Amino acid sequence: MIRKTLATVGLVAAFGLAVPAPAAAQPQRGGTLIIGLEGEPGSLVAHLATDTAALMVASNMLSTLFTLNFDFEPVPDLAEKWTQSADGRTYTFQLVRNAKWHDGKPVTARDVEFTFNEVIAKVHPRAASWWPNVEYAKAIDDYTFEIKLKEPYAPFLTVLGYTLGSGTMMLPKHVYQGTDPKTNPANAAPIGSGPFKFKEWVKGSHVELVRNDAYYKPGKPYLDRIIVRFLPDAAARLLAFERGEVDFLHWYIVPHDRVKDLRKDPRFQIVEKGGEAAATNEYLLFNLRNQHLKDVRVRRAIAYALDRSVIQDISLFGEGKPARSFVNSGLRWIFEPSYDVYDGDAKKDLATANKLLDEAGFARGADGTRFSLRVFWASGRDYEGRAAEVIRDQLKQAGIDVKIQVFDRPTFIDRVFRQWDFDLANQLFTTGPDPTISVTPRYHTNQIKKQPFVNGMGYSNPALDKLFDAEFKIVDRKQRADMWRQIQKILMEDLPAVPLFEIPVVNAVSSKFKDVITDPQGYVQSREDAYMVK
Amino acid sequence: MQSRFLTYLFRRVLQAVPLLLLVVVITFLLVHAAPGDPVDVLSGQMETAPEYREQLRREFGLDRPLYVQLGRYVAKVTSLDLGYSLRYRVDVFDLIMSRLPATLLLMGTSLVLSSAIGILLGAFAARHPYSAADNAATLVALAGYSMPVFWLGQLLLLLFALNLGWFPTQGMASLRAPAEGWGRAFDIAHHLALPALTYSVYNLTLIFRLTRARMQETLAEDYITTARAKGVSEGAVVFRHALRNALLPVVTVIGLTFGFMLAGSVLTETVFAWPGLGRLMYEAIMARDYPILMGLFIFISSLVIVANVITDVIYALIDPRVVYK
Amino acid sequence: MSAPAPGTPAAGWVEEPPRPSLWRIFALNRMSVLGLAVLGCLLVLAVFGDAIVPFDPEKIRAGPRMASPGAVHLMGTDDLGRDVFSRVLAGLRISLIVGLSAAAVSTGIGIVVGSFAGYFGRLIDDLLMRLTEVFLVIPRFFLAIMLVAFFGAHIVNIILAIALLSWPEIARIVRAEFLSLRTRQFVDAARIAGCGVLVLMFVEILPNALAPVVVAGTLQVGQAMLLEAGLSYLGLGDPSQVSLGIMLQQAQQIMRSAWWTTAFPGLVIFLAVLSLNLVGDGLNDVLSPRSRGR
Repeated sequence: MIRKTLATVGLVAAFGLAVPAPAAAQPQRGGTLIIGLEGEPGSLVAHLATDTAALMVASNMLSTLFTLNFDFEPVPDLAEKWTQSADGRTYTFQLVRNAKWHDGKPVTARDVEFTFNEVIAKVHPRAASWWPNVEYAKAIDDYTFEIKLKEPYAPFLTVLGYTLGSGTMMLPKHVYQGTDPKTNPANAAPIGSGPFKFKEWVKGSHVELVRNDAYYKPGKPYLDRIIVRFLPDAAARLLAFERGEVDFLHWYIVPHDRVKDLRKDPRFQIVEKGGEAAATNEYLLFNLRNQHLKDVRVRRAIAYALDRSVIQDISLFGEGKPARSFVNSGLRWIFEPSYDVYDGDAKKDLATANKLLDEAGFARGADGTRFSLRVFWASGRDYEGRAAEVIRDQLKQAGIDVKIQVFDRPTFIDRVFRQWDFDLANQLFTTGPDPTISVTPRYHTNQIKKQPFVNGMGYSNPALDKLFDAEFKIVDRKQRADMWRQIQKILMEDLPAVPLFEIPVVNAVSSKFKDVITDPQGYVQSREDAYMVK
Repeated sequence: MQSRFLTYLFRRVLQAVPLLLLVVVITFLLVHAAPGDPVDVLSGQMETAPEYREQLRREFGLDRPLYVQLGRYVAKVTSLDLGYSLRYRVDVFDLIMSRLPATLLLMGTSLVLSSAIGILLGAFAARHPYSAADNAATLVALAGYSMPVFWLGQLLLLLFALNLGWFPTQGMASLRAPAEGWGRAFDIAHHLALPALTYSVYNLTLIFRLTRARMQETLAEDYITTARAKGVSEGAVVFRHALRNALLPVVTVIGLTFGFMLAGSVLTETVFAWPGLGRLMYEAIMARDYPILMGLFIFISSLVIVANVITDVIYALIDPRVVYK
Repeated sequence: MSAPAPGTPAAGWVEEPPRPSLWRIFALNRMSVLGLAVLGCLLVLAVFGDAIVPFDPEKIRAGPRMASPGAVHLMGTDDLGRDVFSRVLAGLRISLIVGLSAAAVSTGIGIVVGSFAGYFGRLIDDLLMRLTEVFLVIPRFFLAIMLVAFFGAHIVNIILAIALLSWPEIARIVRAEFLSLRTRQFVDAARIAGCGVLVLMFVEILPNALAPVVVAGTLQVGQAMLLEAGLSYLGLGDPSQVSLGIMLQQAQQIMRSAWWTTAFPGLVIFLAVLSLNLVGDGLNDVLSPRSRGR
């Protein structure tokens, strides 16, 4: 068996990240980081939920096999090195030998084996999307762990590294064995091997974590304590941050209109990284069952009629940028903006839109209106509401009368994804960390299911399906990237949706802290690198 | 006398039982009347595997006829089994108990505050009906009742926390530098100030109105006129004679409003991130965690019923005029 | 000043000829008069808002984004450049509609339940009053939250939920009035004249029982407006009907950059509810049995 060493790549990348900026001080020990969250998690482990809140706490206590760098390559964590067989099916991980659970017992490959087979495979909500392809997962000896796949799956390591999607955080076998992993009390008071140990969870208020002095990475972590507070009121949460009661607000809860002011304020820093793994785009979804929208000329006309720079500017108060493709620009290795032909000179675009609509046979009526469409959005993300207003304004000029309807989120999901009763809908989709995981399910014909966040548009293109079905078996990354560019081309031509804008990654952090965010999952990553400057 | 009181007490408690039962039945019917599959309702917005849905169906006995389900549900509730939170995966009753102290602290403080201010303002206003002073007092007392509680809370936060910097904005205690002993008590009081103020302003009106009305009536009674004629000082008339007699019904009403206060805490607690029952409710709404919603509903209704019984009984004990009927 | 002033709607329902003058009793309480004046202005603004507002409340980019209050935009503009003043008036209309409808439905239920209980007494009274009691002990804001969460945040659901939790008060008042009125002479006279039960209840007795109901109903309008705002804050408002409560909820995100987006809707809801409460107090002075000199 010829083995290709991937670890080198990971090590280089890790080293690259560790090089401090010239002015940066040496990390110091001590300090308490207080993280503000919008809601309370249901548990503090990764295998039960896919919500940000749980992961934000769990990642500090539980270890992963490896993390991801900004090119989505693995960086060692519990696994110090790994190899992949030439056929791309077998992955072998060497674990560090000095890792201990918070109760003092050593971390071995048996724990890893148990976590995969007995916990992840059985209870994780998204395991069904990749676990069926696993032939076996087993411990070879105390410090060697192996996973064999039934057929090659290119994004496999990315899936494992993307804890928000796969929940692959290691659990102690001696705590979970013989129990129901859904109800084990350790879910609310985790015993992990990560940089911080669980101290207490005051329900409705906060979770407190303290430094793990026996952590396997020498010198780390730097902070003494981490406190995660639950702050439900949007306005009060921001006040608490501005008053210094909270040190960190993640990108989903930083109000965009305040970013400019926070940037100017020396007490705060806006960290514009750490959301690349999610790589989230906002879309205007089309219901292809609609008699007007089933005509690709109408969809293209709408794309031409929209001025996405204006939509982005107004919706996000100038933050972020227009989306130019069906993958986010954070996915550097495949992102290709050149297929976006719809946003040139605004006047010419509008003329093109009108021409396309005339060709499609939808002439203007006496009042200048060709036809009416409803646009739905769910209250909660205020920028989606602003986008809807601008869209109505812009489509009016092309003779399309748009009516805005707002729902609460559960109703919106029901109308759009379960009943398919919509014309246009504002919805965000993640596109990372690997497009196979998060782009394919939105547009593949076999994903036309009455389920949230899949192909509710009813879009189907057999040629595209073929590409989707082939690309993830290609181990060569360059070749895969080519195929993904073809996919983007087809999607931009067919337009099952219009990519509107990229959700800006704007984390708000107190200036007292450095290196709070160091990887593409920064909003949920472990804070082992974070330190306080006095 | 003694035995008649005991009979009264017994009857009063007995009357509460069917009431409680009705509350449980109404809660049950509500969930079942909600559109869609109750399993959808029970599993909330979480993505659920078919097996899990089946499990829920069995767990809640949804395959049985409705009256069987109702019977089982009532039986469960009477044994204090309020079910299992979908989100926290813990017992709902335990969850409620862990949140109760924070809410009681907030409520208790606000009750004391609003009673003190309300009674003083009310007594003051009643002495000169329709005077400028009365009008001013009325306006002050009505103001809090006339604005959205959460809005008031946010305004207080902006003023006292952000601009003046006198009070912390969120939570029940300082987490960065936790204090011990008296320092901790002071810290909690510091955090309590704004939410308690917000909450008491809202409850002030009722107490004010009642005191004012009662005082007006009492001040018109013969014995007050007699006292005045005897040359008892005005202060003594108001405070020793009139207020005392006017207070009794006020105290009763304070007891009766207990439940509504408890329910109103959801807004105040959300603004100030106060870790009480109101917040639990808010989180349960957001996660569509129906067992918690139903559990809280039944729990608080029971509390209100108990509080009503206690108030009635106390009232009967201290007011000799009450006829036990 | 012998004629009842316009705007004292309850005047016509009072059976006995006004003794000094209802308006004079009402006017004794200056605050109530002030409340009435403010309420009148707000009602005019809400009803004729469309005609007087300078901008279409839905029009985006009516001005620069988040412009502070000034000559053109009296209350500034919001995050989409919509005119806050125009939106506040539109929101006031929705809020008043919610308040009035909820109070009307609640009063309707309350009158039916209360009059049946009070007129028939005995078993019917017992049953209906137990039911009323249940709704009195249930934490009613919780009930509204549950109803709206279960059945969806639609404006009709919200109105019904609020009404469902407000009627018991009315029912109790009506019942008490009926209990005291049903034995009066004029009722007996009507009964002897052969009037049917329903006619007796709703034509003969009810008009005489309405006074305290009007007071309670007035107060409920304001409370319903606040309840709707509270529901909106919890994310259970109807986002397609921009009420003042929804405006407050939406302003949360931007209130640090644009205080006027929360200050003015809040102030208007405050004024509206305050004036309703003051008017309610005044009506109480005029109409309550006590001050009618019993």
